[in-house]
Amino acid sequence: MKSELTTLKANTLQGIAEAKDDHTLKQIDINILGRKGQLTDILRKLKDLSPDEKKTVGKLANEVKTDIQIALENKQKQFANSELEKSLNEDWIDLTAPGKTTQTAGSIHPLSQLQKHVEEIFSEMGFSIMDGPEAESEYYNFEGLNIPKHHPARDMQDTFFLKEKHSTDGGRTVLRTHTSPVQVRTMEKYGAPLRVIVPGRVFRYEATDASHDSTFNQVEGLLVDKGISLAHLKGVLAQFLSRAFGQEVTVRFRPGYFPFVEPGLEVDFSCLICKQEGCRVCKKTGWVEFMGAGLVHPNVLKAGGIDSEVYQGWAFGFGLDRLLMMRHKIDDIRHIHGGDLRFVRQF
Amino acid sequence: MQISLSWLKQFVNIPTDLNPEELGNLITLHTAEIEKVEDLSKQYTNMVIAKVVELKKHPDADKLQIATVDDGTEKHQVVCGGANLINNIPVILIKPGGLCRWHGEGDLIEVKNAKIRGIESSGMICAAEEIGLKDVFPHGPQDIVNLNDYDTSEIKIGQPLSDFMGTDIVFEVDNKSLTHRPDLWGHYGLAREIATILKKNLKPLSEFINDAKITDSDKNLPINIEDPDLCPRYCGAVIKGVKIAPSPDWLRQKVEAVGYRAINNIVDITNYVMAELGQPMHAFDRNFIKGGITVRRAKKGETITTLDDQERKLTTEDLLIADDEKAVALAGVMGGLNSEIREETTEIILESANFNPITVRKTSVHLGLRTESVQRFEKSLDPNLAETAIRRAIKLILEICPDAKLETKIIDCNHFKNPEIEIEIPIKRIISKIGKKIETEEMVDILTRLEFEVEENKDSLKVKVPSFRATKDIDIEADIIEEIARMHGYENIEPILPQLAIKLPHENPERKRKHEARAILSYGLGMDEIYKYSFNGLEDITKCLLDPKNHVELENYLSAEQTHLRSSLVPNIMNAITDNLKNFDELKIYEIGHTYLNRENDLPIEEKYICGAVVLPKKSKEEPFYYAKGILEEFMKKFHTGKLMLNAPSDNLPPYTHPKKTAIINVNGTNLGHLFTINPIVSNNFEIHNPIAFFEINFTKLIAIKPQVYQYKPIPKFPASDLDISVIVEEKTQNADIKKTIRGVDKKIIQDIKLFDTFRDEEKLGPGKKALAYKVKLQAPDRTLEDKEVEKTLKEIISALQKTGGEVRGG
Repeated sequence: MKSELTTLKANTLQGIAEAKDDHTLKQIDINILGRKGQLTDILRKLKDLSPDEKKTVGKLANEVKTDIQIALENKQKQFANSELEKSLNEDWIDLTAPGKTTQTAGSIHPLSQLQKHVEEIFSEMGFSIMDGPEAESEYYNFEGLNIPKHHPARDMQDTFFLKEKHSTDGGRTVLRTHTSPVQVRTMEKYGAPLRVIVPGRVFRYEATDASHDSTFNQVEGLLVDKGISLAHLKGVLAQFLSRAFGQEVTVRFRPGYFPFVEPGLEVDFSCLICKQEGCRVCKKTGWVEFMGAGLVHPNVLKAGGIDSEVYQGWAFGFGLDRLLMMRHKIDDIRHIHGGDLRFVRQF
Repeated sequence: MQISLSWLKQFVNIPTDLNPEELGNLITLHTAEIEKVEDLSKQYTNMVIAKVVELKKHPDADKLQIATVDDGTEKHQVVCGGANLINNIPVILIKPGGLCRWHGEGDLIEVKNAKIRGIESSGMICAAEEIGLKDVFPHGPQDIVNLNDYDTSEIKIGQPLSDFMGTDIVFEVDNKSLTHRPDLWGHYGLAREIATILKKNLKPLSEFINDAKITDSDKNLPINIEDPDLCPRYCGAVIKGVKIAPSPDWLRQKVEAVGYRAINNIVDITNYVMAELGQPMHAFDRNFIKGGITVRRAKKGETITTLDDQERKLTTEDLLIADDEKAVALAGVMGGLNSEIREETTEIILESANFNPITVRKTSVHLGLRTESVQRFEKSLDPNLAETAIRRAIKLILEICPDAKLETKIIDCNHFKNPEIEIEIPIKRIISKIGKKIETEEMVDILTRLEFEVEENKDSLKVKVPSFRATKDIDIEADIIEEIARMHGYENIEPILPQLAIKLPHENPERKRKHEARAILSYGLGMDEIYKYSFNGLEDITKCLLDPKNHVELENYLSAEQTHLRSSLVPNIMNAITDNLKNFDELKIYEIGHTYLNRENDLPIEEKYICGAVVLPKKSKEEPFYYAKGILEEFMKKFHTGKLMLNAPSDNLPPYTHPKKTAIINVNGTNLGHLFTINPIVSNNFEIHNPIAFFEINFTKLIAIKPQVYQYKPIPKFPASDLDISVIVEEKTQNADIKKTIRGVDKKIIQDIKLFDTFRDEEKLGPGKKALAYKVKLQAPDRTLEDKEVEKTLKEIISALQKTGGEVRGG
């Protein structure tokens, strides 16, 4: 009887494996497991066996039954899935029909996005992010930065003045013309060593056109520590720009003049559009004018209460709007503060 | 400032194989930015001096004539509309292929053979502005250049215009990059730089100057300086036997090459010396100077008519050059008309002086008169230059006017002492600041070429600053480092990353949280971020019913829309709404920015605000308040602030809010701002007909509240049951009160109560009534609720609501 069971199992499983359709499986189910099925027949004969035999053969018979049932089910699923698979290929949707959402995302202004990006890069290099007032005293905006009254450099920065005085001695209040006042404020507050950037809104009293606005945004950088050099400035700026643009960028220094740094530098970076072959953007020079920088003038360190015999460092300042315009090829700076959603939603 | 290459070559031997572009680039990299390198001859290609030999009327055009023009080798027929065109005059002919700018405007256009009203025209007789020579050949608006009208030296028919104008290369230097360099406002200073860059010798100035004797006084020309602080030095000399004439070609070409108008030999020489050495000079007609020269402040109410024929009202701050009777020049700014050099002048006084930079600058600013002279004096010129310059000018005048004779010695009224600036600088520090090991030998070579005197010690350099760098430019160690670094070449400094200790940056929660806020509002809640200006105009302020007095006012402004600083972001957002409604039906926008409030004797108070607006479609009958509220609530939740309270308003509401549709935003007892429907008067003022609600949050205060760390609540293991209950109440019944009543029934198993519908129907509900439909969620943490329990709670809720006067339906 045992061998009968084993043979039955082997034959049935083979039959299931070879079945070509669901109908065959149903036939097997009836022929083997049905009320008049072969296995059912065998099970009926169990009662004629001795108790010992009944036990071992019974167990075997149950195992055979389970195995056959599982094999049947698996095969049935297989048939069902392949049916489904066939029907899938007959399905169709219009992939180009509009998507549906209960809540469309709004836009973060591209300037905020870029500012965040810049802040993250410098944060990763250990720079703190600082702020300062936009309505600033003449002292922090000029004198503290080594730009005394009647200095010709004040011409370079046409200034908005506020009517209200900020102190009893008649000191005037200006809208900061650069983010540099935060240099002295930060030095006063934290002393040296110092590693900060200051992104922020600045103002110039000058006529606006597609490439100049009276309100724009700068990022100031300041690193003061022991033994800090121009070579370090080049290193950090190259890192920053390479990360910001996602490709290798080289940096070039030229002499420049800003009263709060000495030596003063103009910083250019390699034109990414023409790969330094010369194009309209770089005015055929291969270099894009980008920022002012230099070693912090000892008078500025002094104004910030830092001993210039012990500490030295550099500062830089660049226009975030300009970087933004280069990044997205924006042709008119006035879009940035224009509030037009047709602009903002592009980013 | 424009610099001529041929001029530079007089002082330094520039290799011929160094092309001008490369030289310009070297100057940019080592000294000052060269903005443009221009080959002067190029622009005059195909232009020639020609003579009109025949003139006929154009048969079909009243204003046109047909000219036959002889360029010395051939004749050309040209149709021309010049109003002053007559026969037999020398003109400038542009032959086909030459470039010009029509009427001085637009792009350069190539002149071609053409038919003009049916008549062949091969070339063009040009007007000065068409070839960029408006300043050289000024003429009437409809005219062409008639070379007879100008004091030019000999005119040769057939001479290419480039020969006449001079062939030269001109570098345009960015003036801004010379702000700190008084020594670079002339060719000689730049030649010194080039000699250093190229390691060539610089010719000493002694070869170029007259060696006349010096005296400190002369009865022929008494010079008196009233305040030596304002005029540290005044050199003067009288020259007789001068014949005023047009300058010789070389002089005229040089002066014109660097952008000045040639006037006459004497004036051109003073300009020439200024362009060469950087020292502004002036020449007076001796006949119009009574007595001697006095340098004094203007008297109250005094005026002077300057060379440009403008009467200038002066203050006692202005410095004048005067004779015994009257003002004759505005010191360091511009000469006076009364004593200008004219054709009849035979005797001149040459002035080469040094004036206080601040005085000159102040006068220039208050008169709005910025001249080449001002540009130089305000940079703090070296008083030694005054003497060099007068000697140079005398030499040139005596060469050009053979009959001229020096009537006096050089009278030198000198109150100036050479500053002795000596800087000792450790070599180690030079290397440390540049970040590159430069050989001491090279440092010494650079400084010596720049005319510093250097004493080399074991560990340091002792550097003496030349007088022309000592007025302001160089007085500290860092200045010397700059000289070495730039001449060594910044391009030779390799980038290095600093090795700094790991240190956490100072925390700036505001920055971080601002970015978080944007992510929630924009990406989470579908709002668009905008930026607007920090300014408001009176119109915006009053449209928003604000008081201009509470605003910080600008002293100077660019437009009437930008006269004040904003005290709230609302006015500019209202403007943005107005603009955007032209393109969109509905909006959700916000700005994060500063507001400014007056404060006595201190800088204005600046606070950062988040200001958001929800604008519903024009036809919407919905209350916008609830949309703004929804955004605010979600925002606060995800911004991890504490429990948001919206309190009933007090009396001091901003005027742009709707008095009855405003709530105070409060977290942890701190008022953070307002949630409001805009005051309809404000909407009307802006002519907006869409429903608008705002939230205005003081971000500075908001981030002062520490973000909450939300604590975990176990996730329910047993299913919840929902009850729907509708209750009819009086219109002014508050949702909060009903919720309170429901919650009061069984605090343990009522998990949530939500108002999901409000229904008004006078016929069905009666007047002044509304039906509120609530979903109440019941759930227990430890068991599945039985039907009996749910039913019991429902009954209790119904009876509680009935007790408060509500008529309950459903359940």
